[in-house]
Amino acid sequence: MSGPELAGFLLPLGVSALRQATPLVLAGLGGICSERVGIVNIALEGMMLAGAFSGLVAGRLAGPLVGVTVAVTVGMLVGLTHLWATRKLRLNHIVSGVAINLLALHSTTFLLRRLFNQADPPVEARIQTMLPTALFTGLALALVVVFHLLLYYTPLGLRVRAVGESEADTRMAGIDTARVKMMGLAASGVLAGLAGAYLSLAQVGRFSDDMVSGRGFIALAAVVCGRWTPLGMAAAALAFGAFDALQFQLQGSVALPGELLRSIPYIATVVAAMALRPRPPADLGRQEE
Amino acid sequence: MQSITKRYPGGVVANDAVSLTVLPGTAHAVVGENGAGKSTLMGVLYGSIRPDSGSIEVSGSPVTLRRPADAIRHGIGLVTQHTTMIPALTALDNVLLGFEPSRLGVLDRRMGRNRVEELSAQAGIEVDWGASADALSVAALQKAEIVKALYRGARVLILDEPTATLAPAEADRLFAVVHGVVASGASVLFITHKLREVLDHSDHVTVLRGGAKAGDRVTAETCADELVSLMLGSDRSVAHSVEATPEASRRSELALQVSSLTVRGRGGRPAVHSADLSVRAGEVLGVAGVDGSGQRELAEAVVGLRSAVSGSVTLCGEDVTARSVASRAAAGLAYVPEDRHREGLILDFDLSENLLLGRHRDASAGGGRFLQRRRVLADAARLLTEGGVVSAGATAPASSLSGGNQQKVVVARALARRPRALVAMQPTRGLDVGASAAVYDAIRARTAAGMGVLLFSLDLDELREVSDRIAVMYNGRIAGVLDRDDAAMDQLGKLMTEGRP
Repeated sequence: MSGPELAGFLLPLGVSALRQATPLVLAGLGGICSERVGIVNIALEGMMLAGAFSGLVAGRLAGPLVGVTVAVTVGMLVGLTHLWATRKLRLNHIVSGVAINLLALHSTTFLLRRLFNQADPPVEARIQTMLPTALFTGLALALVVVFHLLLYYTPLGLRVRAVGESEADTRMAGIDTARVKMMGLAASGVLAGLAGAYLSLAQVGRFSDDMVSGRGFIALAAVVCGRWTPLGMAAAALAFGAFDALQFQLQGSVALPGELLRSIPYIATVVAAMALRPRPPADLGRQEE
Repeated sequence: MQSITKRYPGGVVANDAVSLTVLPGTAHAVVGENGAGKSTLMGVLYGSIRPDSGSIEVSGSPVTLRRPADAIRHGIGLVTQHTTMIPALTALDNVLLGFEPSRLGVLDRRMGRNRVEELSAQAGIEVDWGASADALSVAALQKAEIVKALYRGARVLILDEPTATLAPAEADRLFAVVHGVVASGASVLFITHKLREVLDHSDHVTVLRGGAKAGDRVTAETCADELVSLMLGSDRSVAHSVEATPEASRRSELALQVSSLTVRGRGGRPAVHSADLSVRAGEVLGVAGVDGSGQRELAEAVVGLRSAVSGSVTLCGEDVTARSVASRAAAGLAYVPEDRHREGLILDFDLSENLLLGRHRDASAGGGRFLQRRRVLADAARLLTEGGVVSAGATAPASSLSGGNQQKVVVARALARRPRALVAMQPTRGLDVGASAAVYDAIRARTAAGMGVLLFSLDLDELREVSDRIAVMYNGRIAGVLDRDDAAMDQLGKLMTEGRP
């Protein structure tokens, strides 16, 4: 391959990788916010889906920026629901996460039929003016730096890390741990909702059934591979995004099935779990006495 | 600061109308047996337990403590028995947590560090503040906890059994810090079982018994005998019921032999180097040593929980080095682990289930392919009676028992199979005089029948009372083995801290 040819291959690949990584980075930050305060968050998928759908509906009615605001608010409410279910109802974190994911999947599918596809006359779940993806990508990368600084160089960050390691000890240090957890889950929902809004309002401009299709789980995988740190997670998310982009580029030209390439994030997570020995926050998933 | 008055009368049985007053600039000891309500009292003082009635006054004005944050605001600091330092954070971050100095919203670690170092210098404490908390020793963590309380402006420092896990020399250093804190005008309230600490280091003492106050004394005007009779509620004097095994039951054959055993500890670091020990049938071999000298790894390697790098373990002449835990147990090796909550019992299980664990293949205990519930219960009831366990019966959850009774259950289970050798890790840790004696009575009954005991303890007084011989571990090696009659305190201390006599 000659120089210009290589550039012609790599440049679109890089742009595509960033586009694919953006929702993973945003949702991954959401995963960090939740898991660092001790709440296992497999509900990222559901939060993204709820954000994507509500964002699109609101976006159609009142413009894409209102759509983003609504997506973020809905995401936050779902995040706080997860907290309420695990803390007040004392549900197992995984059970609550699965419930939220199923609820989000089926309610958005149902509403999509009711409000759009089977409406009389049918309406397309699509918006006319899409937001630029670069806006979200830039925001996502900036937020990675912001959260890194927040987590390691501010009092709030110290408290967040402490709560995730041991809520009981943190309370003994005189901290209102319930408040810290609430902030963590609210932020988690906001970020996952934003990731959802990116999908429906910027990347494709419409909503379809199960459009998140596993990105929430891949974001969580990036959190694990990145050892629950913003910088590590972002690096993992970018790598996953690159694999995804590569898969699009190679489609048709290489004999490898797309499914195999798409499973790379999951394989990478398993390898990372074995090779990096990531140490999750010590209190992650702990149900309080 | 004026005189501090705290009163808690409680409807709770744990604390029945207990009042106590701590004067500024004094060290005040609280003593009592297990279950006397000491920890509850401290929890109320720190806002982690709410009293049903009663009031607390700090410097003459009444305060309400709903959560630890309230107590901290009123100048009360608590150093708990187990550290509350978060392992993944640095010692410095642990101290600053909740009271972080910041500039423009950014955590100012340098400012925090200066303040922390200033306070620790005043109190005569040295800690590596940059190290993560899990790299610090128990003693260092405790000192860091004291600084943490002082950093929060504590004028009343509560220490809950501060020396329970410390070696004697470390305990002395801790009390030097306590005296420094008191000299600065603050007050220290410490809970302990050890009368010597009360007599040596306190100005006033409050004795609790069964949740109620049994008496207040000025330390200089009381003596050990008086305190014991207050604690026990009768005029029983200190006479310890624990004695060494009678010579007659000691035999020549070996119950347990450990030969050049080398064991790796956490993270693969060598923890035990070529240890040699032999326990004769009917003998109690005590193992002394500063906490973390390799005792845990040695004990676990002997019972089979940890594999040895080299060397051998021989049980009654039979090499069991390659055998599993279950197979060693079946061959007559029993184990009383160090932490009864995490390793000894499943707290949510009932007593019959806990007693069955490890014996679940024994038909005589109701085990086997299918459990025979009725036999399990009958067997458990028998063991509970024999073990003198005070409980609501075999179906009571293990969590409902007091610490002393829980330990009796662990010991009863270990001895139920009539083992030929017993490995016991600090079997009386956190127990009062009465419960300790009961535990040793049970062990001694089997020792008389020829069981050999390998007893690990941090309490030298106890080791000297119950052991026939005492081995001292230092840095993973057996530094020496002394006969009980030759084991003078200073000699043991020197072996423990320097590794040579």
